[in-house]
Amino acid sequence: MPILVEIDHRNARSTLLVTPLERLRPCHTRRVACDAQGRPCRAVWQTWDGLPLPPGGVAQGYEGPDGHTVPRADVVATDAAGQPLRVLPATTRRPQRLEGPVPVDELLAHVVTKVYGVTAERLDPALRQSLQQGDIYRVPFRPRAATGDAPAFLVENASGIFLLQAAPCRFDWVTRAQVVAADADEDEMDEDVWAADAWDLDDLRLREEGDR
Amino acid sequence: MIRQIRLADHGGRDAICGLLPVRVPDARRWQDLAGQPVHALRRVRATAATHPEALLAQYPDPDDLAQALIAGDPEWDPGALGRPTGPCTRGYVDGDGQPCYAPQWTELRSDGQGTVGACRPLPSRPANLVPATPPVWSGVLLPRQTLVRRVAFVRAYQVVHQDALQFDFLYELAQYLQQRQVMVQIGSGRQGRGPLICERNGRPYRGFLDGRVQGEAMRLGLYLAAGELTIPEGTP
Repeated sequence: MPILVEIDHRNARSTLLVTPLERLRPCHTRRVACDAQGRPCRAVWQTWDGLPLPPGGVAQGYEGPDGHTVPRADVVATDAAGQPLRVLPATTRRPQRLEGPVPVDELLAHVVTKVYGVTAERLDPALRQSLQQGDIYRVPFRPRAATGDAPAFLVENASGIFLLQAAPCRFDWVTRAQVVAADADEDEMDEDVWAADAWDLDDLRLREEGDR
Repeated sequence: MIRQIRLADHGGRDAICGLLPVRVPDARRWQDLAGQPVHALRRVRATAATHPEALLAQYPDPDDLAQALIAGDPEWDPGALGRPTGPCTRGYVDGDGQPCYAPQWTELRSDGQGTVGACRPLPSRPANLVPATPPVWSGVLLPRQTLVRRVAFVRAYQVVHQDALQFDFLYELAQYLQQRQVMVQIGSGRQGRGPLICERNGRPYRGFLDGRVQGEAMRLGLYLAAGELTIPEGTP
């Protein structure tokens, strides 16, 4: 089901239909773990002592400092200082103001968490021209109400228009004296943010020749 | 332990450097209506032996299952039920419900309706961030503005040094990229353009480096792209 996004840019409104890119693909690939007999395995969580927990075998809840269970409805998100965060409404069904063009560094300060293909029901010609020239725009995009701001970037290439849902990153300047020890920090694991393995490199063909 | 990567530069040199994750962690906290701090906790609800599916496999007849539930409480594991799971790792159980420590990976290809058309076994893919042989400078330099509209960067790391020699290596690499306002593709293989695999049997990515310098400081980012931004043909 496409999501309707209305955006305002320089007193002109555009209406976009956005669909997760994996749903637009005609075929999907996925990797399945199989045992020695070729039967599909089930993914489980394993506790530190090796107890396998199948899907549905884990209950998640919230607990207070003394161990009492707190109902989900009574849990409030706060900032680091303990101030309750305002719940930001979903951005669908409400026109959003487009910011930009933003510098490419702003997009490079994020990682993409989801890609949407965009079908323009009504697109401001000036905005279309700007996108075709390679400009990048930022727009608030929350399919659901949330306490955190979720930026998204609107870009266009020869294939079409895309909305890139993103999460912020932070790169620091480092000097010669700031040596990082090899055992400094734990690493993040590979997150399964892509629903389909259609993004496998088999399907990728970067057209580097023209850009070299 | 941080990740490491073996990088080559435009001068034919290479070095094993560190990779720091750069995702901004979620700074939100949680509290109850009385203002008391609250934390999320996972507890064991059922194990592989007491899960409803396991019980149904053990007692296919519903009457037998009902009788067993009344007589012996097979759904109840007093040693596990309700205990905090703690940090968990991902594992697999085979068709018999036993742990499978070395699963074989198969790729299933299905159409838009979910009908599985073809499957093929996948070879085991080791991680290749630190290859045994020196990596190759790909020479593929792409303008940032072009690249961010062509691929989606789904993971990012900051490349960091672990000694002063590495810093000089990375500084010159960052300076080279900044002067040309480009990102360079890095990867495996003889041409340095092959996929990067961060974990064994992990997802393959295309890697790109972006470098900046500011006085005596430098910033070198490794971006991993999982796919090209293309709308499938035939999409309205």
